[in-house]
Amino acid sequence: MKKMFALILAITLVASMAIPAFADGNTTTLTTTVPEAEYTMTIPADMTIAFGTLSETIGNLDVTAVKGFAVGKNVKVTITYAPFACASTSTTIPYQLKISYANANSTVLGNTTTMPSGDAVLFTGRNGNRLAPIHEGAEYSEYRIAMKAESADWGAALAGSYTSTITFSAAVVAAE
Amino acid sequence: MLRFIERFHRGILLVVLVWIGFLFPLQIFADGHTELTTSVPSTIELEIVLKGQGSVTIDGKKIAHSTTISVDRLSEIPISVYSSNPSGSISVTLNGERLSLSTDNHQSTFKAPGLDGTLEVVFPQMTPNASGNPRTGDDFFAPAVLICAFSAITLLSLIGINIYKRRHQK
Repeated sequence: MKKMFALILAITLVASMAIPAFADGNTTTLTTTVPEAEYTMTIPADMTIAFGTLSETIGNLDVTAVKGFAVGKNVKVTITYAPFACASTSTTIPYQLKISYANANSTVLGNTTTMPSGDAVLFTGRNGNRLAPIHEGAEYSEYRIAMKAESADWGAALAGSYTSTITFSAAVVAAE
Repeated sequence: MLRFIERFHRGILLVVLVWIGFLFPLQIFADGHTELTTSVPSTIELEIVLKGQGSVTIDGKKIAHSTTISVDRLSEIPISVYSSNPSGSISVTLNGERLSLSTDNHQSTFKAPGLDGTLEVVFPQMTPNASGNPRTGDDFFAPAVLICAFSAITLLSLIGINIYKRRHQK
Protein backbone atom coordinates (compact mmCIF):
# COMPACT_ATOMS: atom_id res chain seq x y z
CA MET A 1 0.00 0.00 0.00
CA LYS A 2 2.83 2.28 0.82
CA LYS A 3 4.48 1.48 -2.54
CA MET A 4 1.28 2.19 -4.37
CA PHE A 5 0.83 5.50 -2.57
CA ALA A 6 4.44 6.46 -3.27
CA LEU A 7 3.96 5.68 -6.98
CA ILE A 8 0.81 7.79 -7.21
CA LEU A 9 2.55 10.62 -5.39
CA ALA A 10 5.51 10.40 -7.73
CA ILE A 11 3.27 10.46 -10.82
CA THR A 12 1.35 13.43 -9.38
CA LEU A 13 4.61 15.24 -8.73
CA VAL A 14 5.88 14.61 -12.24
CA ALA A 15 2.56 15.67 -13.73
CA SER A 16 2.56 18.92 -11.79
CA MET A 17 6.05 19.76 -13.08
CA ALA A 18 5.32 19.00 -16.72
CA ILE A 19 6.16 21.82 -19.15
CA PRO A 20 3.17 22.77 -21.28
CA ALA A 21 3.72 22.26 -24.99
CA PHE A 22 3.06 25.19 -27.40
CA ALA A 23 1.50 24.66 -30.80
CA ASP A 24 1.43 27.02 -33.85
CA GLY A 25 -2.00 26.06 -34.96
CA ASN A 26 -3.76 28.92 -33.16
CA THR A 27 -3.38 31.53 -35.95
CA THR A 28 -6.01 32.88 -38.36
CA THR A 29 -5.08 33.57 -41.95
CA LEU A 30 -7.04 36.12 -43.95
CA THR A 31 -6.76 35.96 -47.74
CA THR A 32 -8.02 38.20 -50.46
CA THR A 33 -7.57 38.54 -54.23
CA VAL A 34 -7.10 41.85 -55.97
CA PRO A 35 -8.40 41.53 -59.51
CA GLU A 36 -5.95 42.40 -62.25
CA ALA A 37 -6.35 45.95 -63.47
CA GLU A 38 -7.43 46.21 -67.08
CA TYR A 39 -7.07 48.91 -69.66
CA THR A 40 -6.60 49.38 -73.40
CA MET A 41 -3.73 51.56 -74.55
CA THR A 42 -4.11 53.38 -77.86
CA ILE A 43 -0.93 54.52 -79.57
CA PRO A 44 -0.31 56.51 -82.76
CA ALA A 45 -0.54 54.58 -86.02
CA ASP A 46 2.43 54.00 -88.29
CA MET A 47 3.19 57.11 -90.28
CA THR A 48 5.24 58.38 -93.19
CA ILE A 49 7.10 61.60 -92.57
CA ALA A 50 7.76 63.82 -95.59
CA PHE A 51 11.36 64.66 -96.36
CA GLY A 52 12.44 67.87 -94.68
CA THR A 53 9.57 67.96 -92.19
CA LEU A 54 10.54 70.07 -89.20
CA SER A 55 7.50 69.39 -87.04
CA GLU A 56 4.62 66.94 -87.40
CA THR A 57 1.90 65.62 -85.11
CA ILE A 58 2.13 61.84 -84.93
CA GLY A 59 -1.00 61.09 -82.95
CA ASN A 60 -2.45 60.56 -79.50
CA LEU A 61 -1.59 58.29 -76.58
CA ASP A 62 -4.64 57.26 -74.63
CA VAL A 63 -5.94 54.55 -72.28
CA THR A 64 -9.56 53.42 -72.35
CA ALA A 65 -11.69 50.48 -71.15
CA VAL A 66 -10.32 51.01 -67.67
CA LYS A 67 -11.14 48.48 -64.93
CA GLY A 68 -9.79 48.08 -61.43
CA PHE A 69 -8.25 51.55 -61.05
CA ALA A 70 -8.63 54.15 -58.34
CA VAL A 71 -6.59 56.87 -56.72
CA GLY A 72 -3.18 55.44 -55.99
CA LYS A 73 -2.96 53.07 -58.92
CA ASN A 74 -1.54 54.52 -62.14
CA VAL A 75 -0.44 53.45 -65.59
CA LYS A 76 3.05 54.47 -66.53
CA VAL A 77 3.99 54.48 -70.23
CA THR A 78 7.68 54.55 -71.05
CA ILE A 79 8.50 55.81 -74.52
CA THR A 80 11.68 54.76 -76.29
CA TYR A 81 12.81 55.65 -79.78
CA ALA A 82 15.92 56.04 -81.88
CA PRO A 83 16.86 58.31 -84.79
CA PHE A 84 15.73 57.45 -88.30
CA ALA A 85 18.14 54.88 -89.69
CA CYS A 86 18.69 53.51 -93.16
CA ALA A 87 19.99 50.06 -94.01
CA SER A 88 21.87 51.26 -97.08
CA THR A 89 23.51 54.39 -95.69
CA SER A 90 25.52 55.30 -92.63
CA THR A 91 23.70 58.52 -91.84
CA THR A 92 20.86 58.88 -89.38
CA ILE A 93 18.25 61.58 -88.87
CA PRO A 94 17.80 62.41 -85.20
CA TYR A 95 14.53 63.82 -83.96
CA GLN A 96 12.77 64.60 -80.72
CA LEU A 97 9.33 63.68 -79.52
CA LYS A 98 7.20 66.45 -78.06
CA ILE A 99 4.44 65.55 -75.64
CA SER A 100 1.54 67.79 -74.74
CA TYR A 101 -1.58 67.32 -72.66
CA ALA A 102 -4.69 67.37 -74.79
CA ASN A 103 -8.41 66.97 -74.68
CA ALA A 104 -10.21 64.95 -77.31
CA ASN A 105 -11.66 67.01 -80.16
CA SER A 106 -10.02 70.11 -78.77
CA THR A 107 -7.16 72.24 -79.89
CA VAL A 108 -6.57 73.46 -76.36
CA LEU A 109 -3.31 71.88 -75.28
CA GLY A 110 -1.41 71.89 -72.06
CA ASN A 111 2.28 72.40 -71.60
CA THR A 112 4.41 70.89 -74.37
CA THR A 113 7.59 69.21 -73.24
CA THR A 114 10.43 67.40 -74.93
CA MET A 115 10.34 63.67 -74.29
CA PRO A 116 13.81 62.11 -74.46
CA SER A 117 13.91 58.42 -75.25
CA GLY A 118 13.36 56.38 -72.10
CA ASP A 119 11.20 58.94 -70.34
CA ALA A 120 7.69 58.07 -69.21
CA VAL A 121 4.27 59.66 -69.04
CA LEU A 122 1.69 58.88 -66.40
CA PHE A 123 -2.01 58.17 -66.53
CA THR A 124 -3.10 58.89 -63.00
CA GLY A 125 -5.77 56.82 -61.29
CA ARG A 126 -8.86 58.86 -60.46
CA ASN A 127 -12.00 58.25 -58.49
CA GLY A 128 -14.69 56.57 -60.48
CA ASN A 129 -12.41 53.97 -62.02
CA ARG A 130 -10.72 56.39 -64.39
CA LEU A 131 -7.23 57.19 -65.64
CA ALA A 132 -6.21 60.62 -66.89
CA PRO A 133 -3.13 62.71 -67.61
CA ILE A 134 -2.83 65.35 -64.91
CA HIS A 135 -0.86 68.55 -65.34
CA GLU A 136 -0.75 71.29 -62.73
CA GLY A 137 -3.99 70.04 -61.25
CA ALA A 138 -5.83 70.03 -64.55
CA GLU A 139 -7.17 66.78 -65.94
CA TYR A 140 -6.74 65.99 -69.63
CA SER A 141 -8.01 63.12 -71.71
CA GLU A 142 -4.88 62.14 -73.64
CA TYR A 143 -1.33 62.91 -74.58
CA ARG A 144 -0.63 64.36 -78.00
CA ILE A 145 2.67 63.34 -79.56
CA ALA A 146 4.61 65.24 -82.20
CA MET A 147 8.04 64.86 -83.74
CA LYS A 148 10.53 67.64 -84.33
CA ALA A 149 13.61 67.43 -86.54
CA GLU A 150 16.30 69.90 -87.50
CA SER A 151 16.75 71.16 -91.05
CA ALA A 152 20.50 70.56 -90.92
CA ASP A 153 19.96 66.88 -90.04
CA TRP A 154 17.62 66.38 -92.98
CA GLY A 155 20.11 68.12 -95.24
CA ALA A 156 23.04 65.98 -94.12
CA ALA A 157 21.23 62.66 -94.59
CA LEU A 158 22.25 60.57 -97.57
CA ALA A 159 19.54 59.41 -99.96
CA GLY A 160 17.60 56.32 -98.94
CA SER A 161 14.60 54.95 -97.05
CA TYR A 162 14.72 55.51 -93.32
CA THR A 163 12.68 54.07 -90.45
CA SER A 164 12.37 54.69 -86.75
CA THR A 165 10.37 52.66 -84.24
CA ILE A 166 8.74 54.23 -81.22
CA THR A 167 8.02 51.73 -78.43
CA PHE A 168 5.36 52.40 -75.81
CA SER A 169 5.80 50.18 -72.74
CA ALA A 170 2.90 50.40 -70.30
CA ALA A 171 2.81 49.11 -66.73
CA VAL A 172 0.44 49.37 -63.80
CA VAL A 173 2.23 51.02 -60.91
CA ALA A 174 1.40 52.18 -57.44
CA ALA A 175 1.41 55.94 -56.90
CA GLU A 176 4.68 57.14 -55.45
CA MET B 1 15.72 25.97 -30.30
CA LEU B 2 15.21 24.48 -33.77
CA ARG B 3 11.82 26.11 -33.90
CA PHE B 4 13.41 29.50 -33.13
CA ILE B 5 15.95 29.10 -35.94
CA GLU B 6 13.16 28.09 -38.30
CA ARG B 7 11.18 31.20 -37.35
CA PHE B 8 14.31 33.37 -37.79
CA HIS B 9 14.80 32.01 -41.29
CA ARG B 10 11.17 32.66 -42.14
CA GLY B 11 11.63 36.27 -41.02
CA ILE B 12 14.66 36.72 -43.24
CA LEU B 13 12.78 35.22 -46.19
CA LEU B 14 9.88 37.60 -45.56
CA VAL B 15 12.20 40.63 -45.48
CA VAL B 16 13.87 39.51 -48.71
CA LEU B 17 10.49 39.09 -50.40
CA VAL B 18 9.40 42.56 -49.27
CA TRP B 19 12.59 44.07 -50.68
CA ILE B 20 12.08 42.26 -53.97
CA GLY B 21 8.60 43.72 -54.03
CA PHE B 22 10.00 47.22 -53.58
CA LEU B 23 12.59 46.71 -56.29
CA PHE B 24 10.12 45.40 -58.87
CA PRO B 25 6.84 47.16 -58.24
CA LEU B 26 5.58 46.86 -61.83
CA GLN B 27 2.87 44.34 -62.28
CA ILE B 28 1.70 44.25 -65.87
CA PHE B 29 3.68 45.10 -68.94
CA ALA B 30 2.26 45.89 -72.36
CA ASP B 31 4.19 47.10 -75.38
CA GLY B 32 3.07 48.88 -78.52
CA HIS B 33 5.09 50.05 -81.47
CA THR B 34 4.69 52.90 -83.90
CA GLU B 35 6.88 52.89 -86.98
CA LEU B 36 7.84 56.14 -88.65
CA THR B 37 9.22 55.99 -92.17
CA THR B 38 10.70 58.63 -94.41
CA SER B 39 12.48 58.78 -97.72
CA VAL B 40 15.42 61.02 -98.49
CA PRO B 41 15.58 61.83 -102.22
CA SER B 42 18.75 61.86 -104.32
CA THR B 43 18.01 65.24 -105.91
CA ILE B 44 16.74 68.62 -104.76
CA GLU B 45 15.18 71.61 -106.46
CA LEU B 46 17.49 74.60 -106.84
CA GLU B 47 15.88 77.91 -107.69
CA ILE B 48 18.16 80.03 -109.86
CA VAL B 49 17.55 83.77 -109.54
CA LEU B 50 19.39 86.03 -112.00
CA LYS B 51 19.40 89.77 -111.35
CA GLY B 52 20.90 91.99 -114.03
CA GLN B 53 22.28 91.12 -117.43
CA GLY B 54 24.21 87.91 -117.78
CA SER B 55 23.92 84.18 -117.62
CA VAL B 56 25.25 81.22 -115.68
CA THR B 57 26.21 77.68 -116.57
CA ILE B 58 25.43 75.22 -113.79
CA ASP B 59 26.46 71.61 -114.11
CA GLY B 60 26.80 72.12 -117.86
CA LYS B 61 23.39 73.76 -118.34
CA LYS B 62 23.35 77.35 -119.57
CA ILE B 63 20.75 79.47 -117.80
CA ALA B 64 19.89 82.96 -119.03
CA HIS B 65 16.73 83.57 -117.06
CA SER B 66 15.56 82.80 -113.55
CA THR B 67 14.33 79.23 -113.31
CA THR B 68 14.34 76.13 -111.11
CA ILE B 69 16.56 73.15 -111.86
CA SER B 70 17.08 69.75 -110.29
CA VAL B 71 20.55 68.86 -108.99
CA ASP B 72 22.04 65.94 -107.11
CA ARG B 73 22.00 66.47 -103.36
CA LEU B 74 25.29 67.12 -101.60
CA SER B 75 27.29 66.87 -104.84
CA GLU B 76 30.00 69.25 -106.06
CA ILE B 77 28.54 71.30 -108.90
CA PRO B 78 30.57 73.52 -111.27
CA ILE B 79 29.27 77.00 -111.97
CA SER B 80 30.39 79.61 -114.50
CA VAL B 81 29.07 83.15 -114.54
CA TYR B 82 29.02 85.38 -117.63
CA SER B 83 28.25 89.04 -117.14
CA SER B 84 27.30 91.48 -119.91
CA ASN B 85 29.23 94.09 -118.02
CA PRO B 86 32.90 93.15 -117.87
CA SER B 87 33.54 95.60 -115.08
CA GLY B 88 32.07 95.42 -111.62
CA SER B 89 31.74 92.54 -109.24
CA ILE B 90 29.37 89.63 -109.50
CA SER B 91 27.61 88.41 -106.38
CA VAL B 92 26.70 84.73 -106.12
CA THR B 93 24.91 83.47 -103.01
CA LEU B 94 23.65 80.01 -102.17
CA ASN B 95 20.90 80.11 -99.56
CA GLY B 96 22.21 83.48 -98.46
CA GLU B 97 25.84 82.43 -98.18
CA ARG B 98 28.25 84.04 -100.61
CA LEU B 99 30.21 81.89 -103.03
CA SER B 100 33.65 82.98 -104.12
CA LEU B 101 34.39 82.94 -107.86
CA SER B 102 37.75 82.91 -109.55
CA THR B 103 38.61 86.44 -110.60
CA ASP B 104 39.76 85.57 -114.11
CA ASN B 105 36.96 83.45 -115.53
CA HIS B 106 34.26 83.67 -112.86
CA GLN B 107 34.16 79.93 -112.30
CA SER B 108 33.73 77.96 -109.14
CA THR B 109 32.16 74.85 -107.64
CA PHE B 110 29.67 74.61 -104.82
CA LYS B 111 28.31 71.78 -102.75
CA ALA B 112 24.65 71.27 -103.53
CA PRO B 113 22.50 71.64 -100.44
CA GLY B 114 20.68 68.71 -98.91
CA LEU B 115 17.39 70.55 -99.05
CA ASP B 116 15.71 72.67 -101.70
CA GLY B 117 17.47 76.00 -101.97
CA THR B 118 18.07 79.21 -103.88
CA LEU B 119 21.11 80.29 -105.88
CA GLU B 120 21.08 84.01 -106.56
CA VAL B 121 23.39 85.73 -109.04
CA VAL B 122 23.51 89.53 -109.10
CA PHE B 123 25.32 91.01 -112.09
CA PRO B 124 26.85 94.50 -111.98
CA GLN B 125 24.61 97.27 -113.25
CA MET B 126 25.32 98.67 -116.70
CA THR B 127 26.57 102.27 -116.39
CA PRO B 128 27.58 104.80 -119.12
CA ASN B 129 31.30 104.66 -119.79
CA ALA B 130 33.62 107.57 -119.34
CA SER B 131 33.62 108.59 -123.03
CA GLY B 132 29.87 108.92 -123.11
CA ASN B 133 29.63 106.71 -126.19
CA PRO B 134 27.11 103.96 -125.87
CA ARG B 135 28.29 100.40 -126.03
CA THR B 136 26.65 97.03 -126.26
CA GLY B 137 24.62 96.27 -123.19
CA ASP B 138 24.40 99.86 -121.96
CA ASP B 139 21.08 100.99 -120.63
CA PHE B 140 19.41 103.84 -122.50
CA PHE B 141 17.10 106.56 -121.35
CA ALA B 142 13.88 105.76 -123.14
CA PRO B 143 12.13 109.16 -122.77
CA ALA B 144 15.10 110.98 -124.32
CA VAL B 145 15.10 108.64 -127.29
CA LEU B 146 11.35 109.11 -127.75
CA ILE B 147 11.65 112.90 -127.55
CA CYS B 148 14.45 112.89 -130.12
CA ALA B 149 12.45 110.63 -132.46
CA PHE B 150 9.33 112.75 -132.10
CA SER B 151 11.29 115.95 -132.72
CA ALA B 152 12.92 114.50 -135.82
CA ILE B 153 9.59 113.36 -137.25
CA THR B 154 8.03 116.76 -136.50
CA LEU B 155 10.93 118.58 -138.11
CA LEU B 156 10.83 116.38 -141.19
CA SER B 157 7.06 116.87 -141.43
CA LEU B 158 7.42 120.67 -141.26
CA ILE B 159 10.12 120.62 -143.90
CA GLY B 160 7.94 118.42 -146.10
CA ILE B 161 4.93 120.73 -145.68
CA ASN B 162 7.07 123.73 -146.43
CA ILE B 163 8.41 122.15 -149.64
CA TYR B 164 4.89 121.16 -150.68
CA LYS B 165 3.55 124.70 -150.18
CA ARG B 166 6.38 126.25 -152.15
CA ARG B 167 5.80 123.96 -155.11
CA HIS B 168 2.08 124.70 -155.16
CA GLN B 169 2.57 128.46 -154.83
CA LYS B 170 4.55 128.45 -158.09
